[in-house]
Amino acid sequence: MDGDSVMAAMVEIEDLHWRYPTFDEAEEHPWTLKGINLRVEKGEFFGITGPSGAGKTTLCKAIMGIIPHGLKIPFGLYNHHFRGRVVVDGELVSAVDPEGNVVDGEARGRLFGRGIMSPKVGMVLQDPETQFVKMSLLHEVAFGLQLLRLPREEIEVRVRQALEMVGLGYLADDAEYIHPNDLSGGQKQRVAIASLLAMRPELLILDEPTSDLDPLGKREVIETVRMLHDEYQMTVIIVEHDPEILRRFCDRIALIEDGQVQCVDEATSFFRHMDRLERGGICRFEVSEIAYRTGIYHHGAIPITIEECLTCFPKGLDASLQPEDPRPQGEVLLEVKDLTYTYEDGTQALRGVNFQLHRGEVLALLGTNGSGKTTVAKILNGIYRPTSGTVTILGQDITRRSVRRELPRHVGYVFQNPDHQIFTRRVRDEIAYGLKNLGLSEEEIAERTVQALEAVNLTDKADEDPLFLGKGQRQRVAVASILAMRPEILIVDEPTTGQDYRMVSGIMELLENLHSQGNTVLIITHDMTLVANYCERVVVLLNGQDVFTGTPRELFGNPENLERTQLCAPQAISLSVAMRQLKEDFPLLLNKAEWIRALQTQRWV
Amino acid sequence: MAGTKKSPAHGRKFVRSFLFSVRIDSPLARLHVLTKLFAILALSLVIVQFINTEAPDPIGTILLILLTLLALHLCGVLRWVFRSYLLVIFPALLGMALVWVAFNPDPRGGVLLEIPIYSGELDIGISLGLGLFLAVLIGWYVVRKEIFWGLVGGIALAVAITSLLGNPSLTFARVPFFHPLTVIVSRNNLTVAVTKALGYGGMIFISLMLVMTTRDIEFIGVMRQVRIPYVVAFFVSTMLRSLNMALVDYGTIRQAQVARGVSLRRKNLFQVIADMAYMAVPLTASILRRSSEVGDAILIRGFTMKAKEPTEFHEVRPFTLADGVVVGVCILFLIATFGFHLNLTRWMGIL
Repeated sequence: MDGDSVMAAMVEIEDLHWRYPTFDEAEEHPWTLKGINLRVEKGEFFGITGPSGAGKTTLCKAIMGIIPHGLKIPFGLYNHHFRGRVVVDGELVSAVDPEGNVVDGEARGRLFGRGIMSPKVGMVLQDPETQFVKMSLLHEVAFGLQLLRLPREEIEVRVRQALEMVGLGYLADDAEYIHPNDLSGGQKQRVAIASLLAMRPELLILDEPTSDLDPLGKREVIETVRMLHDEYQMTVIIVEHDPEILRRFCDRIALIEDGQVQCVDEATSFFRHMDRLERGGICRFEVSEIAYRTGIYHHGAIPITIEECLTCFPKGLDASLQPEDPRPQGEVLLEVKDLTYTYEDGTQALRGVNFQLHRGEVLALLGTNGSGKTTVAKILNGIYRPTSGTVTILGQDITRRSVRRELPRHVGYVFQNPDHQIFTRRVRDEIAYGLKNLGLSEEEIAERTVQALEAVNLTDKADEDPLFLGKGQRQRVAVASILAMRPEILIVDEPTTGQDYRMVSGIMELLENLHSQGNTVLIITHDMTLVANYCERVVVLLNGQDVFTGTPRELFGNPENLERTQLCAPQAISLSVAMRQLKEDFPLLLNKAEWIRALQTQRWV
Repeated sequence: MAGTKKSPAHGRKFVRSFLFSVRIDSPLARLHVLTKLFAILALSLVIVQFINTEAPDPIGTILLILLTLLALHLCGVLRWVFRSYLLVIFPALLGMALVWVAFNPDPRGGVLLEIPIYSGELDIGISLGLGLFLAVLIGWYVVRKEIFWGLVGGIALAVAITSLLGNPSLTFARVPFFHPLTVIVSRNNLTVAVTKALGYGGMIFISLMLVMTTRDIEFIGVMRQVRIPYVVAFFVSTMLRSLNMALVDYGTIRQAQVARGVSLRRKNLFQVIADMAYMAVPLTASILRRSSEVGDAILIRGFTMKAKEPTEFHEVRPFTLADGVVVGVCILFLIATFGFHLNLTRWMGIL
């Protein structure tokens, strides 16, 4: 900022305070950012993490200049909403002169600074759908360049280059005819990156850009960004929850909590401070948790990578410590044979899917984006009619319309986005909504509502407006509203997407409780750690077909299976597999609970 | 398509339009939006002339409809027209034709059927048929909380009993109301009714030609061509995109309602309306959230209200020879119809 720094700073933030405006200035919001001081060096790959609601996105918007320049501050009362300074690449983005703008003797504050930092700064938002603002791929990528008033020929070249950079060069020829609805979530996110890259930003901010992507897509997007960072010395700020991405790609990581920077640390040491991470509700590495709980250290520090664990974890664990995978014992509730489905526009989503679901089991339905998982779920819930094949639920063939119409009684489906399934303005009424459709009496409805609220720990929120609850709570409301209908089978579609570590733990604890109460659960997810911790069997879809059916141990413990299914194994079992390279009969331990139990049993600690 | 590319897209045959999808290389997809608008206007005026009561031209109307359907078929959208609108268009047109015949007694051309329907006077009183009808209707509602089958049953019972026993009644007063109504089906009014129904159907297909074969980006291009301020054109573009997102959300929300058992029981009209009203909550929440995020996305690209006219890029479509030909043909149609009073049916000696 003062030009005397040895290393040039790309971002310098001094004592940044921000609170969002309300409609009623008599009741102001609490401060969202409470004195942020942060410096990001030029050319750095900087990570930001923290629990939901910590202020990460707000901070990114402040760097971008959207806050406060893109918002309307009531009565120009900048002093009430903004303090501090934000400087990007030596240019003042935002600052407020607290003595300026005097009205009726009151200094309301005068905002100054360049404002929104496009095209020098680009920002990729979390939702790939909303940042696709045009109706064709070509115009989407070209939009920013058109606004820069570049010559047409230059735009043509840059658009093609940008698409190549993000691995979508094969779409360049048809770009003019490709509608956003023709693209998957992962592709849309890459298009968002391409549209900013075409503008050649010096700083690229990515706000949880991979939360909607499958593991492979996630890695591809971040590797693309890392490659661009390395090749063009672009500064990158990424907001993420995934510790693997943060560790692998970032130079330094900042922990934001409650509107303040709690710490900034090198990526190699950030995840070794377990107490700090636990206090902050940050997702830790599985191997770190195992080591922390069993007192294993790598050169005096908590290990965070498999390579480190190979040098410090005991290799002599007995093969008998590997638990047996439970076999499905209950009756078959659901059987799918050669299921196909073709959408009205001719897209064939399913090309022959086969699997069974047993009573009382937790089955994971996995697959890359666009593999057909949600289509299967909607067929099982009666929303779609199968094109061909047989689906038998509770002994009934669902190709019959009369059977399909009754399916919501027996198969409950919790959608991925809780906002799509909140129909009333009170939590209690929301749960009663489905029960009224079942034709139950008022007494029965009241009783089931109470039970459902207790099951999800939302009894104290019964009279709240669900739209004003946090995302994790809204997800619980959605689960409760389906639970109350007491379906035999519960399908949960990506319940942990876009949620922080605490919320994920909460949701999974809930589902575990449901399972222990005898519910049969089908989970659609990209979270492999969740699968390893909670699911008994998995079915993997690829291009509309099932390519694997078995236990998580069989899937994650066999590299060939992983390659065939294009999935990545969670860290705990990856460590087991790596250990097997050193000792052939090393037990294949699936998750951190099995590891801790094994280590404690063998008394290595 | 919009822009200067002449060759079809590599590998892709269809592109999304306002409604459904259109074949990229089809004739209508290659026309300028203004040409299509002019054609719709011109052909609609021609059809209005063809369905003239005094000189109906069913042959001309049919010919125009066939040409329109052929154009829609070449664009690959015909199956969507019939799949989506079949249950709506034809009953509506049939109803229109019947109403025309009922309310336009025209004996010219030879009467085929004559049925007095109404004498021109209202009898105020009670009758056996009315009593039976009301008894069944009210009784059915009390027991089943439904109206439709009560209506059907009441009418059927009233007709059956009164046809057997007559319809004894007690008239308190007789009041003249409206004019007597006699349904006369003659060659003339049948021809007019059919021609009008075909004509309005034709206008529907012609209008669909626009929305089914035009992409939203083409409208933006037209706005730029006619020098509408960029901010306005951009607003329209964003609105169309937001509408697209809202439609996707609507579909998902509706599915979520089905998952909550909204279709499990029979519901009366009020309950069905209530279910639709329930959708307003998640739909509004989605739209509001998205609008905020779309606003951020636009700002991130550098758009401001003071944005200068940006570079044109594959938005504006030039007028081509095909546009000229279509406009010329439409003008010829107009001249032939309004200038020379062309009537193919009479010219062929059918009427």
